[in-house]
Amino acid sequence: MKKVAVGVETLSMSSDFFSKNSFEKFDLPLNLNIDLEDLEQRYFKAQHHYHPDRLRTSNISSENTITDYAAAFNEAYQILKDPLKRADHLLKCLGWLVSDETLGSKQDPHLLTFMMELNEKIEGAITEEEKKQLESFLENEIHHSWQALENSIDKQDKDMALTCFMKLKYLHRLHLNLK
Amino acid sequence: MLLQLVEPGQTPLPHAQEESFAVGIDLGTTHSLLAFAAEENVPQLIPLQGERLIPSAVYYTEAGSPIVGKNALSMLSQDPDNVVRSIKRFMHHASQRHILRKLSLTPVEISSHILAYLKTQAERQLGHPIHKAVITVPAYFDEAARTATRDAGRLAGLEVLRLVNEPTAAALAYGLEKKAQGIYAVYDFGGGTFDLSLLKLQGEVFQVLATRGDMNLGGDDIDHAIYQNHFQEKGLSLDLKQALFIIRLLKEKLTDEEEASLTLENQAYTLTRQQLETLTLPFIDRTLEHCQKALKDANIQKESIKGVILVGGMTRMPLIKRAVETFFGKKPLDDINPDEVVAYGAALQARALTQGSNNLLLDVTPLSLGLETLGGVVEKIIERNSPLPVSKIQEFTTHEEGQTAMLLHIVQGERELVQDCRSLARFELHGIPPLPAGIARIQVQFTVDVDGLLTVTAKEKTTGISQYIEIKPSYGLSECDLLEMISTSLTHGHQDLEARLLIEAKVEAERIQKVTLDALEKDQELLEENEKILILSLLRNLEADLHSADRTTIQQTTEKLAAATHPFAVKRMTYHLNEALKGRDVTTL
Repeated sequence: MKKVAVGVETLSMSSDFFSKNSFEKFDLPLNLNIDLEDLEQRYFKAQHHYHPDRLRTSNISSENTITDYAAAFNEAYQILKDPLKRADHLLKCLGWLVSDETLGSKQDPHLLTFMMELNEKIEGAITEEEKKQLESFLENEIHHSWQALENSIDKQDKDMALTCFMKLKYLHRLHLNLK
Repeated sequence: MLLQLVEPGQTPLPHAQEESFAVGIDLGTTHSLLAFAAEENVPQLIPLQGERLIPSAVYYTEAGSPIVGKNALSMLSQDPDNVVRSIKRFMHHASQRHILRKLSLTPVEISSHILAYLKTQAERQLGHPIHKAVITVPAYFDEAARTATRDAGRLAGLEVLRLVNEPTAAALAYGLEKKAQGIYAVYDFGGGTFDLSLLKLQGEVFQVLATRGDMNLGGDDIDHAIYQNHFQEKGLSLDLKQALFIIRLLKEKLTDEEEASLTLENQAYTLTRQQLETLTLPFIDRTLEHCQKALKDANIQKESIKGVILVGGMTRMPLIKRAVETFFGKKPLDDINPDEVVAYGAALQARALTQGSNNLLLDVTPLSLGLETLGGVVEKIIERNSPLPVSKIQEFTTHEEGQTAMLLHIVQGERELVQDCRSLARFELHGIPPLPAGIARIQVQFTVDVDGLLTVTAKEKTTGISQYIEIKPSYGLSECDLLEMISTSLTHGHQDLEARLLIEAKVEAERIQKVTLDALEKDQELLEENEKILILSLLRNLEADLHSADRTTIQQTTEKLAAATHPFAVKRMTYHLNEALKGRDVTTL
């Protein structure tokens, strides 16, 4: 297993910590793709320092403060380990996505039609065979949209990135419905 | 038979050790256990009065004193109305009062009597005062039931270091004792509750990935089903509580036998394994549905599960073992006793929290938490399976011109509508500056700590007015009541303890006296003359001792009588081949 030297700061952490984004909290670069195993190790390391169970046998500050830190790391971990939440967070960190409404105003009529048709197909799928076919189609689409999102972020193409992200959100929901 | 007890407090330990002395308690629906880890990674069960599993039963004497354990169970035959069993099932209906004698008791108080008994007995056994404990709760226990459990601990004079989820405790015991690593499923089917937790064990980290369960799905439900199907219509003279107890005994015998029967007061009761299994199947299906859902929640395939850990008395049933094996496709682990494994985990965590440890338990909240919004719809603030501690802030605004107060209704559950969720608390935020609708910004912060307990704070941002509330489900005991009860119990603690020990000694003596007299009446021809003389003389001594208030003498004579009647019990059992309670002697029923 990969052992990572983790730059989790000591308890002298200032309150600045709480204004950091989830990537910064784990000392990670702003990136769409991350190494999940590495993230997990950083997360465990952070919890080793800040989990309230640790407080009982050490002499550090108050439990409330510790709980705040542990909760902040938990939240950041929940965001980063989930691809969609991570993408959403990244777009917000970049300042491209302000709120979820921003996304709504970017409705692409072609995309909407495509998704509605796909949804009808999913609702109409009865046999296992049909479902399997749709599932692999969806997974393929998700894969491609993810790559497109990656490219558009690299190229600083804000509009394209938002369109890809919205498509991904739809695809994920359809994928869930199918299951 | 009866264990020699160590007198407490002979060599007081230094203060530092005092601070670090903490036990683990599995406060179960059917049984409760207490364990202690004197050394790292070596938890030991502390048998109390010679018993490893203490029945979670309480009998209230005429004077209103609680008697806990097998002595309480033995009163089922004479006075079932004043015996309480399975109180854990009421922990989330903590305002429901139970009338026993002249007392009106909450489940918190009744549970505290069980805990107090465990505490005092363990203190005698370990020769050391106990002030701190880790208490386990079902993973699927809601906020109300958790708070109730913590309060029961406080009421019993215990500082509750942590509430640890039972499946997590079990995984901790397996992880440390058996060096388990990888993804494990813990299938915990007990007397009152069912939990399924998926954990990742990696190095020193025990990470809960998902948990599912039912607070009202346990062996007790199967007992009730058996009662309704095979006992009720026979118009038997049994009290429901007695019948359920007999059913439990029969059910336990069926673990190894195809048919079980039991004769009590010339009435025979039988149950076949076939009958039991038919009635159990629907319950097993419900547990497997939870397994399926948990796998989906954690997005894990069955194949990636390295082992399945069995916890709880119900998992002794061969049918359940087979069903779990079929579902997960691997033979489940039960090499640590499923009845005891949770207590071991609790003891390990108690030690870790007082002495330090490199192990880390990362648990999750089992149920979503939210607020009521317009139209009775729930706005979820914290999603279930969020790692603990968790803290979330949500902003709300006023919807009327000049609105100065706002009602917050906090609910727990997965459903969309408030009416389908559990209502935890309502509180009002006052002093919002009168502003046009939609201008005030009210921040509501939900924090769930590592015990799974919720705190809610609200703050109006434009003025900084803030209100703080710790969620206290309304179970009829306010924080004030509780503090008063704690201080009363501390003041009268010693008196109460002596009085209770004397009552317990007397109840035990009278019980053995009665059992012996009954046995003599029925079967005295089985005795040799010298045996009979000995028993009769001990009976006379005991009768005399009972009039004194000397606990030690009563106990000693009781022990002598119990020892003297033991061969008699064995003879009677051999004689009555159909005597049902094989392996138990007459003194245990």
